[in-house]
Amino acid sequence: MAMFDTPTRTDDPASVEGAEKVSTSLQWHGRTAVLVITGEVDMVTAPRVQGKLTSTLEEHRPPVLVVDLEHVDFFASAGLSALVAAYQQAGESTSLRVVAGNSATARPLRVTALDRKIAVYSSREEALSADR
Amino acid sequence: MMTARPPSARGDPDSELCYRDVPAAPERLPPLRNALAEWAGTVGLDAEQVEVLMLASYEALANVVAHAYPDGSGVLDLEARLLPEPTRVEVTVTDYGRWCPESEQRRDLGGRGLILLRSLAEHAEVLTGGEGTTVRMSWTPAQDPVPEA
Repeated sequence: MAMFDTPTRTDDPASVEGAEKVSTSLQWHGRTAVLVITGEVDMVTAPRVQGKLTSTLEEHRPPVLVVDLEHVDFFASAGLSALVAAYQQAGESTSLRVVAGNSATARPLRVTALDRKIAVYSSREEALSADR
Repeated sequence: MMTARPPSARGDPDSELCYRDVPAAPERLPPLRNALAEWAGTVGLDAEQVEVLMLASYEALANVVAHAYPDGSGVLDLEARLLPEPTRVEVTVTDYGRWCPESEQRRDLGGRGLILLRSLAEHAEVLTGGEGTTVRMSWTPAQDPVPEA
């Protein structure tokens, strides 16, 4: 705890956090793609998430893309923007489904009303079994 | 002691968290929001409030980083206080640039960040002056402050 021990910091907190704070993993359930996001999605990490969403949609054109945010513990507006971009890119050809079972992800989707535009589920099982 | 305080702080040493002249850069923000969350847990906010405060404050900070200094680099201040009468936790984020909330509402990212910020804070205001912009947000603690060990 000594790292916050000095008054009015100007040089710290350390800047090593951020770039490696998110990871993605693409899995398949039949023809359904599941992009599992783990970590923190903020203005530093959202571009990586958005890049992965874009490339998944472009390269695979899956009929269903589940974006699993179950293991995301911080989700800022930059992450919302990445989802909106993916939703727009998905268009008619891919059904985009978001798993946001915890409050850190469900709340920002709810208060911005994006959960009325993008299909949000509380578990991966629910998202996988949902009707089109 | 876990938190920083300005030399002028009096009373409970942990009732204030203060970072000044932090470079307005994206990679600076995660440590700030983590320090803020740690502090917020000690002043009577419950887990949900801490989560909400952390996200709202992050959006205010991110707005500074994204929009306050279009012509180059700048700094920001983050201050959090436990205030009396009525008891409330107040977070202010200040920049010295030309961030303009009205124009940002039309931008996708800035607009959504502001919606989040305003929805998540019990009270939120954006004060724009000649020297910059201050976003001030507050919450009412659900519990009593955690006594110091």
